[in-house]
Amino acid sequence: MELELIVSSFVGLVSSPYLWVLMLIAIAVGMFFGAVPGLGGKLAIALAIPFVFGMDTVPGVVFLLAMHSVVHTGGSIPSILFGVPGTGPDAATIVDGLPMTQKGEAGRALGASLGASGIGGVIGALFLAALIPVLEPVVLSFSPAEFFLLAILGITFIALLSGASLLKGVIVGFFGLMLAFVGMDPQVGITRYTFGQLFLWDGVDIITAILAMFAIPEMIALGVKGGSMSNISMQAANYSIRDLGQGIGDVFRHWWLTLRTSIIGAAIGVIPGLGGDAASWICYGHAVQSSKTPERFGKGAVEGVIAPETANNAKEGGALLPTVFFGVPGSSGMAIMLGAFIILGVQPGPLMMVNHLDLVWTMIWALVVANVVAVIMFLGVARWVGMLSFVRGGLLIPFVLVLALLGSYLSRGQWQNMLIILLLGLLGYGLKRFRWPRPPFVIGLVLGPIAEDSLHKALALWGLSFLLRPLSLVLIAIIVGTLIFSFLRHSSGRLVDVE
Amino acid sequence: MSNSSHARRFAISGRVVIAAVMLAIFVAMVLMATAYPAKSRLLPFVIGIPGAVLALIQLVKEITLPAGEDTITIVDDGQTVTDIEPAADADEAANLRRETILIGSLILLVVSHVLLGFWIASPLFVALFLRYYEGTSWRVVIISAVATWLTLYVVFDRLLTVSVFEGLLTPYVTELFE
Repeated sequence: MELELIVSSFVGLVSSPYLWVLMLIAIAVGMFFGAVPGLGGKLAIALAIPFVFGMDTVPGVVFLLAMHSVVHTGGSIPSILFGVPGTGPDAATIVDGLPMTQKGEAGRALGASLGASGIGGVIGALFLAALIPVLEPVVLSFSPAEFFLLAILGITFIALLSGASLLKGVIVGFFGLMLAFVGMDPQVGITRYTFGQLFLWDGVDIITAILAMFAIPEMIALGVKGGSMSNISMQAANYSIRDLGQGIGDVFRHWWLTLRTSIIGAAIGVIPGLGGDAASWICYGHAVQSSKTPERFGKGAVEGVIAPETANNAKEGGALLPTVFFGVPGSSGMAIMLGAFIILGVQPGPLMMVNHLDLVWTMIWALVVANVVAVIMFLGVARWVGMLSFVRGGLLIPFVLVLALLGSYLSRGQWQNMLIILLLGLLGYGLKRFRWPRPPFVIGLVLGPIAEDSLHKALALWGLSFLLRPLSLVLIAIIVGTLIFSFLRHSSGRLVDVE
Repeated sequence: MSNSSHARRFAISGRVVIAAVMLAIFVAMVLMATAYPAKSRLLPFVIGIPGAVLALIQLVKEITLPAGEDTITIVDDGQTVTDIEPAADADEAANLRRETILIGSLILLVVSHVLLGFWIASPLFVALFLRYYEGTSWRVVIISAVATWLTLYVVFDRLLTVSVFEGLLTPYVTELFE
């Protein structure tokens, strides 16, 4: 049965010309958002929402995942060719990628980066697949009590997603939770915080809130910065297909490192809050530590490109696990993805294991196929993708703003959402401007209704003794552990602001 | 007083304003929740009251934070950062000016779309922004505006078959011409 499901999900994905077209478009869009510094994966998902709005669940999910999974593949290209990281996690690739370009090994570095990204992405997806049978019995034993505690666990991850600004992060997360209470209260049947406005009866629209908190502030910041996104001079990066092949060969020559860093990256992805930067730098450090010739690193060692690139892409598979099965996003990008899934009619949580395992397998296959196809596509166009780092940011601003507004209107077909996006967008820019972390807001907004609904159900079933159920105790222990871990992490003073 | 010291004062007071806004939101929501039945106000109280306390602590921190402690940190979704030197005073003043224009543009974007709808306001906004903020040539401006309208028509209206908002004023204006 399971095998049949796995095979049919794969066949369903690869035999549909419609899904192929969508994946190819998604890969191109992901490549663009990855390669243009200042855009990145979060903005890509937020802005893709208007386009997937009218789609069925499977095409919409495949489009978003395919796009998101290749963002870092695109981001590595300007890192290597011009020393400009397309996204934050691609910064580690510069350390050895740029020296390789300067030594005339640009093609080899690109080949290694693309090969490592592709293999990392595939291993990350397989990592997720391998954990499904392990998780199944745990997930299926959950009751409203555990759902409530899972939501609380998700909210404690706010602390982990808050970087150095723990207090600010918790406040923003609580603000997201409070906004989640806007609308009709299903327990009592009264409206809360609606000010007599009918359009607020269904609550604050998640997509509008996400676009307001991420797309609008990023565009204002881009406009304030002005000019070209890359401040370095364009240099010719000449290479041949043979050089690219040599780089891909390096990935297989260092297969043990590739495998190790892929698994480490995927495992880091599972832990909410650690993020892509941690994955790529930890794996880079691991490559240096485990090398017999560590002195080559920083001067153009190909392993220094392979390690962070495998980790970057592998972590997406890992991050999908808590997002899909627990409704707890593994990263800020996945927090936005969670909102997009809900819009597409997917309700992430343990029931995914029972009712939508076919969709989960389609997601896994979409990650695998997108990563493989992206490598082939990128090999052909890498040189031109690198040039995207010289796009003038200001030219994109009006288009992105119009798209954001369109997304907020289309999500519910209510023009009043455009006023909400203005209000929240201004607040979001204020948060960004004065270094308040914004990802916790999304977690609060998404998990608020789940927490409230589950709490009332658990109280009705068991009263306060629901806290003493065995699984509840395990979850409480994890919550306490998370809080202690967050506190120690913040006390160490090594964390920095997360915007 | 110079523009730069205005900009620095804005940065400091902006921090305080954001913390104060968060505090005001929590306090207002908790006060409103007092009017709801017990079940409905349970979680708004459980979240809102600690939220207000934390926002108050943050506000006090912002008020007492010395002005020189500002640094600018660029971060993506993880924890790696690029710390850059605080902008020079002249840069801060220029940034503040650009910021004001961009926020004004955002307000113009929303108001124009609410009143005139996407078909009219989107190409118009793209054209105005590119011409007057980015200083782009008329040729690029016209191509971009037409491309915007065509994207709305081809992708959303035809391919995705979704109706975009036509604006609150547009029906009245159309009626006048008819």
